[in-house]
Amino acid sequence: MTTEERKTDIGPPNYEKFLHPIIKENYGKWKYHETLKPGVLVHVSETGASIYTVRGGSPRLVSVDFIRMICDLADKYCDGYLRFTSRNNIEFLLANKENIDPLIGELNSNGIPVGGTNNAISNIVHTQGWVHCHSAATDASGLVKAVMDELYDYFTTMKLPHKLRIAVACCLNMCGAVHCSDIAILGIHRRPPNINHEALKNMCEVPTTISSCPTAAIRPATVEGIQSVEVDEDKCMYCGNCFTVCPAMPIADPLNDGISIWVGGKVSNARTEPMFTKLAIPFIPNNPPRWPEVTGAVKNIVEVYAKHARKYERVGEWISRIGWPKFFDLTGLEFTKYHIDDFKHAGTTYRKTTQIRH
Amino acid sequence: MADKVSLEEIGEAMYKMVEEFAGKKKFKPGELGKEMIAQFGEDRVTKKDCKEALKLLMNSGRLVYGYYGGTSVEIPHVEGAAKDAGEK
Amino acid sequence: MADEKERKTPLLDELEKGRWPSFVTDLKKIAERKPMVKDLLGQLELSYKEKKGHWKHGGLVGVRGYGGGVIGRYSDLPEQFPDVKMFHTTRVNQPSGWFYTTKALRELCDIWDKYGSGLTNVHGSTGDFVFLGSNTDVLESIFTDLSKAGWDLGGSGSDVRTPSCCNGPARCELACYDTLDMTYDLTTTYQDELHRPAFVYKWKFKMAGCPNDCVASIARSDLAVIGTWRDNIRIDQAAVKEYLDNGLDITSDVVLKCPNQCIRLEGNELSIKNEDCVKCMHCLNVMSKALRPGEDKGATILIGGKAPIMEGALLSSVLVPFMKMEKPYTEFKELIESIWEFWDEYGVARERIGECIQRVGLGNFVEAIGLEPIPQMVSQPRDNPYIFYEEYFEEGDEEE
Repeated sequence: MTTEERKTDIGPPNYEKFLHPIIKENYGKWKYHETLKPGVLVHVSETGASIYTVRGGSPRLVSVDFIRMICDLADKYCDGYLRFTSRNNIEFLLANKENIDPLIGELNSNGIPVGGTNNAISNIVHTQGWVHCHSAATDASGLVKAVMDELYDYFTTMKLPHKLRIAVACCLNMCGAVHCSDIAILGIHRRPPNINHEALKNMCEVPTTISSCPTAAIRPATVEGIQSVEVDEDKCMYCGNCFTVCPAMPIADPLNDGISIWVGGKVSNARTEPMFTKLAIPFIPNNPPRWPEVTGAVKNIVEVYAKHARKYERVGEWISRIGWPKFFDLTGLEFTKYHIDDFKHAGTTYRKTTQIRH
Repeated sequence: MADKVSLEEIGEAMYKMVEEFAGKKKFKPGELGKEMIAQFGEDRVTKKDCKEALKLLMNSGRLVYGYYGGTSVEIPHVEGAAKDAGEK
Repeated sequence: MADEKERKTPLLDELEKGRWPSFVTDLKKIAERKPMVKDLLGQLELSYKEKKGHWKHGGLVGVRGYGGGVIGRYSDLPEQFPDVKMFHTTRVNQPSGWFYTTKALRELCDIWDKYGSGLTNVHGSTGDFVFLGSNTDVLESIFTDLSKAGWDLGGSGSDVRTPSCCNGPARCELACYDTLDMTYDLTTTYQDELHRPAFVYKWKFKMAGCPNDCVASIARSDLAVIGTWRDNIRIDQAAVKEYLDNGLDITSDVVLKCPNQCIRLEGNELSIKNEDCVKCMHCLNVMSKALRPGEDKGATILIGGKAPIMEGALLSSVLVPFMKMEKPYTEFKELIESIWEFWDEYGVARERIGECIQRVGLGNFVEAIGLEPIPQMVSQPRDNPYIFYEEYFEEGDEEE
C-alpha cells in the first residue's frame, strides 16, 4: 500500500489559469474603459481588443446552488470566465457585445440586479452577524437585504452626485472597511460584559483577559472564593475584546444592543485624502427582521446627499464643504453629547477657529 | 562554538513547558521560541530552529494551535465549546 | 408525512420580500437537502426573535500542522439545533484578483457540497473564499480534497492573513504595478507565515494598483502597497477634444476639482503641471480615454492601517514614498522581513504593527528598520516641543 504524501503549503492556484483569453492577451495593455450603461463596462486595449463586464449584485452569503446558477450563466455567455469584486459583486466577463443584453435578461429573471457602477451605490460590504459570529450585536445579512431593498434603484441607476459606499459591521471589531465608508452601519453593545465566574475559572487566563482591555477596565478580583476579574463599568466602552479572549464574559444584551450610523469616510485618494467615518446617529434599537428605523435613516442621508451634493463630491467631501452643523440641519438628525469625542484623541476634533457659518 | 541543540531536544523542551503551564499560561509561538533561546542560549538555538521544532510538533499532532483573540500553543484537549457539542 | 425538522421562520420570511436577492430564499432552498442549513435557519430565526446571537467561539479546531485557515464555531443551543452544534468556518485562499473559471468554482462547490453545509461567503472580508459551517471530523477530508484539486487554506489567527488585491493589470488601465503577480508571489513566499501563526497578532497585506485603492488597503491592511508613478501624466490631446466635443465640462468637472490646481485648459489643449500633481486620480478617473498614468511606475508603501480593536482605528501612513515593484520584489521582501523582525522583538500580545509604531514612535521605528526619516512620512513636522534629545554636548567635548 502506498501512502500518499500529505500536501501542505501549495498556496492558491495561479491566477493566470483563470484569466479570460482576451484578458491574458491584453494583460497590462488596457488603455481606457467606458461605462456603457449601469453595471456594464467595456475595457479597451492598446491592441484594439475589448472585454465587456456585466456587474451583478450578490448577497455574498450564498449557497453552492447559487454559485452553480451563476456558473451556468457564465458558461452560456462568458466562455466560463467570471470574477468577484472587492464589494462582493459578481462580474461576468464577455468577449461578445451581443451577449450583454441576453445575460442581463437572464440575471434579472434569476433575481440578480445589474448595476453598482460609477455614481451608484455599490454592494454593501458586510460581516457575519447573527448568521455566524460570536460577538455580533446585530445581524449583517438581514440588515444588508433590508437596506438594499430600500436603495435598490440607486444600485441599478447612476444618478447620485458620485459613488456611494455603504458598509455594515456587526460589532466594533469591524471585519471590513466600515470605518472608511460613505455610510457605515455599525452594530454596538452598550453594556459591560456579564461575568460567569465559575466558567471563567476553567476557560480563561486572568492576565490575558486583563490585558485584552483597551481601556484597562478589567481588574483581578476574588469573587466568592474564585480567582476571577471585575469590570470597572465607568471605563468599559463595550468593545467585546475581552469576550473574544475569554468566552466566560459574554457581552450580548438584547435590551441594549443596537445600531449606530456613521458617515463621510472614504479610502480613495481622489481629490481629498482618505478619511474616517464620523458619528451621525449614536443609537437605533435592533428591530429585526427589517430594521425600518435603520433603513429609513440611511435612505434619508442618501437622499439629502443626492439633493445637495455637487457632482463628484463624496459624502465626506460634501459635508466638509457645507460644514457639520448644516449636515445635521439638512438631515434633521439630532446632535448630542455622544457626538463629541471623549476618548484618546478627543481634543483634535474640537473646533478651534471662529470660522463658523451663521 | 557551543554545541547545537537538536530540533528534537528543543521540541521536547517546548512540549514540557506547554504541559507544565497548561491551564495557567497560554504561550504564543514566538514566546515559546524566546523561552527556548533563554533556556539553551542564543549560541545554541536560533529563532529558525524553534520554528522548525514547533512545526515538527504540530505536524505530529502532539501540540495544536489555539485561538482566542491571538494564537497560542496548546496540548490537544476538548475545550468548553467543543465539549458541549459532544466532541471527544 | 411532515418532516419533524420542519421549522417555521416567520421573521426571516419577511426578508424574502423586496427586490434585492434574498439570502433567506437561497438558504431555504438548499435547506431542503441540507439539515445543517435547516437548523441554521432555525437558530437565526430565534436570534431575530430574541435579538441575540447564539454562537460560541471555539479555539482549537484546524487541520493538522496548520494554525490558520479554520475558525471554530459552536451553537450555544446544541440540543435545540443539533445539526449546527459544530459549524466551523474554513477559509480557502482565493486566486489573485478573484478571477475564476466556472470549472474552478464548480470544483470548490463540489468539495464543499460533499462535506459541509453548502453555504459560502463569496468572499470573506479579508478575501478568502469562505466555506461556512462544517463538523470537526470532516476538516481533514476537506483539506485533502482541496489540496488534491490545487487549493490551499488561507490565514487566521496571529499570522499573515490571506493577501488580496484589486483586478490590477488584468482588467484596469490604471494599474501601476502587477498587483496579481505580487499577491501570488507574496502568498507563496510566505506560506509558512500564513499557515503557522508566529506573530504577536494578525498581519494583513493588500495590493492596490493605484491611489483609487479599490481594495481599501489604506484602511484595512497593516502593509498597503498602492501603485503610483513619478513622471508625467500622459495626455492624448485628440481624446481631450473628443471629450469637449461630447459636452464634458472639463473646467468644472476636472480643472476645478484638482486638489492642487495644476491642470489648465486653454482652448482644446489640456496641460498639467506635473511637479504639483499629487496623483490623486480624479482627472484620470473622469477622462479615462485622454489621460493615463506616467510610465515610471511603482508603488507607495504605507504601514499600520487597522480597525478599532485594540487602541482605535488607524489609517496606514507612508513608509516608502516610491518603490519599483518588479519581480522578484527583493527590496520589498527585505523591508517586510526587517519590519517583522522588529515587531517580533518589540510587539506585545495582540498589538498590530500600527499600534506598536504609535507606542514606540514612528521615528524610532524607521530608525530601527534601517530607513531614513523623511518628510514624506508625516503630514507636518511635530508642533509640540517635548523632544527627547538623544545627542547633546558635555563639558570638555572636543570641538570639531
